[in-house]
Amino acid sequence: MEMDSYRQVFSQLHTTVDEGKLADVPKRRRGLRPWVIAAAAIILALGVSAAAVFGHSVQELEVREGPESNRVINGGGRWDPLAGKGFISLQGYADSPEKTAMEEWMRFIHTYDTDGEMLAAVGNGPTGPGEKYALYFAYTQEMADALDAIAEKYGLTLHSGFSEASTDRLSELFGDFAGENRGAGYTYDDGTFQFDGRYAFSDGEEVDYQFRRSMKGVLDAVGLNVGDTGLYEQWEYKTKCGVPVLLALGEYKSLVFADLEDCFIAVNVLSGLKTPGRLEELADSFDFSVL
Amino acid sequence: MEREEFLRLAARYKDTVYRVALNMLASPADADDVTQETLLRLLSRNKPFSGDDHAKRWLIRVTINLCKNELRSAWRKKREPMPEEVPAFDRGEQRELYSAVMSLPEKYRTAMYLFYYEDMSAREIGELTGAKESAVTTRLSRGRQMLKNILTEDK
Repeated sequence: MEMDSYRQVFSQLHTTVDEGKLADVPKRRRGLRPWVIAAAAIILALGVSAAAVFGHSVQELEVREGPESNRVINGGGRWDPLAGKGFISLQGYADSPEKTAMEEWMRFIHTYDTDGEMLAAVGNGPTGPGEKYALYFAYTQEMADALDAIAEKYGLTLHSGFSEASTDRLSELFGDFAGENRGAGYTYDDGTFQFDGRYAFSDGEEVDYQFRRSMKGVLDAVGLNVGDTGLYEQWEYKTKCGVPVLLALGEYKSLVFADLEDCFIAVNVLSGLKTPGRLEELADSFDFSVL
Repeated sequence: MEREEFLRLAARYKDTVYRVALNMLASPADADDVTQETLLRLLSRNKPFSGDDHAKRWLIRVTINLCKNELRSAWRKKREPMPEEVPAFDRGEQRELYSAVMSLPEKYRTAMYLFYYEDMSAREIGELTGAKESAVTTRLSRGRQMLKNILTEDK
């Protein structure tokens, strides 16, 4: 292989990230791709807006910046990289212990080992604190201690082991909630699970999504970037199984949330859906009542 | 970090960050995500760099760490493999070479990129990736041989 050829190949590869937009973003939108930010800005400029019409809203799920983080990070007057506008909790609505604990853990990890030196020292080897903490990507004893302290503060337990599981297996374990949906993912021993799923609408069109069930009473740290929550059309919908859900239809994402007695459900449709009817049909495809 | 300094460093090194991430993750979309995250960390950095070389090494180290985090995340391990994502190239043979490189194990790809594109020594690559210098040398040798075999088989 000629090294010139190698160089020519990689010289043609360029990121789509626009540093100008990053420098101007007042709040951190972690993990959101630049084209989403740009598109959201355009939509906002056009005056499109939407709001929830009932008790709950996507805004209630937003991971909020805390006063502690402002003091620690934003002391110089710069924007706060913790401020997670558009980054939502998948554990529960505002002020639930699960969401509050998740926010606290987020604040911790975003101010810890910010240049990755400790992570580099750990490398790909086993992490000191052990498997339980590795599920939270805690790679030092200090991180493990912080997790324990947050869990104790809010009366929560930590995930322990997990295993791979298809929707068939998940239905065996937790009840036939999936209906015609098919997919694969994993489940924690406490009943929290997640899978990548696919659903075929009645007209044959298919949609891919992520489904997550977060058990109440457990500290779970998975969030989701959804962009500007103010740009979602939101409404309450009573599904065929009788469970009310919050539906949110956005330009690039569509979301389903169900706040159940023992768990909180979030469905993230990856490419968005074109109409409210489509999202309602997808929500109807699950039997949330068994979860 | 001051805005102007951030813009200068980001413009100069964002493609380096992206290419390192692409070699580690083999996904243009994931590489863009890591690039954005790395640049956000640059923007929020308080300590000054001693020079551009220092900034470049810091950016590559942060990129590698973020990619390692991504590679060992439970979510990535459990998700279904995505169809091969290949960027557009000027010529067909460049696409073939890119696909051949991406078919190598990650540790070979990253070492080769840093060595052959960024002109780093085995020692420097070892410092950034957490590998011994001898291991980097072995990866470079094996990676190049594997790539040669793949390209020969394709013809």
